[in-house]
Amino acid sequence: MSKRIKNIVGALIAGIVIYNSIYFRPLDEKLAEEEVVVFDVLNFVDKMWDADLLTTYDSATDFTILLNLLVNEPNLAFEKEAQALGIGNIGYFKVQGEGIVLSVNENNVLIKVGDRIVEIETEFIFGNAVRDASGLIKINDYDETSDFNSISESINDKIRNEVVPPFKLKVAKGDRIVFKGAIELNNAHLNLDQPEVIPVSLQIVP
Amino acid sequence: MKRLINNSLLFLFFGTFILFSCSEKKNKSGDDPKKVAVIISTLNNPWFVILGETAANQANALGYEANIFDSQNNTALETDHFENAIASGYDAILFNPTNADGSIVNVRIAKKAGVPVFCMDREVNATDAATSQILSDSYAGCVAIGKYFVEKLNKKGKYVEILGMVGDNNTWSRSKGFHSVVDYYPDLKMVAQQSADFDRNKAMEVMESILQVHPDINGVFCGNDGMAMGAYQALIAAGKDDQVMVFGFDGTEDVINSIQQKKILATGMQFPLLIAKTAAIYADQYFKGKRDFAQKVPITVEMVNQENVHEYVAYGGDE
Repeated sequence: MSKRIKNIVGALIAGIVIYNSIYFRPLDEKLAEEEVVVFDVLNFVDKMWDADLLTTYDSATDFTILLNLLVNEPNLAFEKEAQALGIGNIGYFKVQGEGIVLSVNENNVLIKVGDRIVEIETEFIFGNAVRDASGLIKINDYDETSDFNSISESINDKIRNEVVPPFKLKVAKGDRIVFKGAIELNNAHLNLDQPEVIPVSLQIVP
Repeated sequence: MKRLINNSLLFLFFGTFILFSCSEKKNKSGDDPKKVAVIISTLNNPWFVILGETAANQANALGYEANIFDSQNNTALETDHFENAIASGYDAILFNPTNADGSIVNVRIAKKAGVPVFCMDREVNATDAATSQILSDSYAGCVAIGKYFVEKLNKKGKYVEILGMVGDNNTWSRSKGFHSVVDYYPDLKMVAQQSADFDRNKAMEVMESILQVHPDINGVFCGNDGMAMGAYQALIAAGKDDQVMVFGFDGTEDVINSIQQKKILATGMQFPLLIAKTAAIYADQYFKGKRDFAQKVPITVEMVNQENVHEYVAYGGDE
């Protein structure tokens, strides 16, 4: 009798252990979990560029007005006009304006905007200025930080390959140009001597 | 039969005791001050010492007891710290992970026990584990360094990259940010890329070895300032410190001094004081009821070079 009870208890324990050790799930559910979704950044930026990004830059602040505000009330300028993803001194600004070309150089085009010399970047199109100044992209919308970083790379590629070359082919000293773009500034180390604009749109005005 | 019943009861008793004592916090009275555990990847690196001490000091200033735990770059030891912190009744963990993937399980243990975790500087590769992750924007910082690197080397030359710990996302964010610029210039050739685990001595050895094969390099990019100092030491020993430009990342005191002395070219100033204080403040806000923290909070990194170093202090101050 005791042997039978021992066997029953043993079988019960074994049954509980086995029951908790294995489980059955539909295979397609498991496969779906493990599927890696690759972020198609090129497609994403292509769609975003025309539909959203250029539209948002249409409402960029006039560069001369912004510069005056930065000179006279920098904290207010940062508070009102800057976009920043997180915490720190750096802010990104959407700007638009027009100016006269002073020189066409290997790495940039220098223009006169009001009484200021402004640098339109044509070589060093890097960084997050255009993405972050737009205010359209938020880091917490992306589980993978690398996907988030790739958006800036793709935007910069687009500027480098599509915005700058046709402009650089034709632009010459003395031309009047209209530009839209982004600038990066540091509130704690503010330098307005020759602001650098990463362009999203460049037009030579006839 | 009697023995069987007694043994079963004993088994049930001890099993229940072990099961419920493992991950439950000690019960505390409402009057006990809250405790904050500061778990740091390694205290063998002065940058992380600053991070940990600042976090603990800020927690103290906010009225909490705080203790620092050194994981010695060992994820298993980090697990022990988490388990001890939970069992000892810590109310929050300010955490600098050893491994972006390997550390996830530790954060989840804490979450399950109701202990909020605030990651500092390094992230874990999960967005549903930590309460918030306060991270340096290493990628953007290294884009700026990459641009400066290209300008200083005049778009041509041979260079070496010394990487940090391969299990740390910061290593790859920094490398990718740097390469997102430098790789556009075909006349800039990377002749060697090797990890030195963020360690100064290892970086010196790596640099010495690389110089034997590639004595005519023009630049070195290091994933942190410790490795930059190690690489620079190796270059001095080889008599090449004037020939090779060295770039680091962190903003530590010795590299800031070196930049001021026109030796090392540039670094990315992270702000460990700001990161640590923000994490402690977030813990305080959590204790007071706040729950809607942003999962990732980037802290901007600023490039410090020989032109602007006079505007900066080591570790960024409280900016």
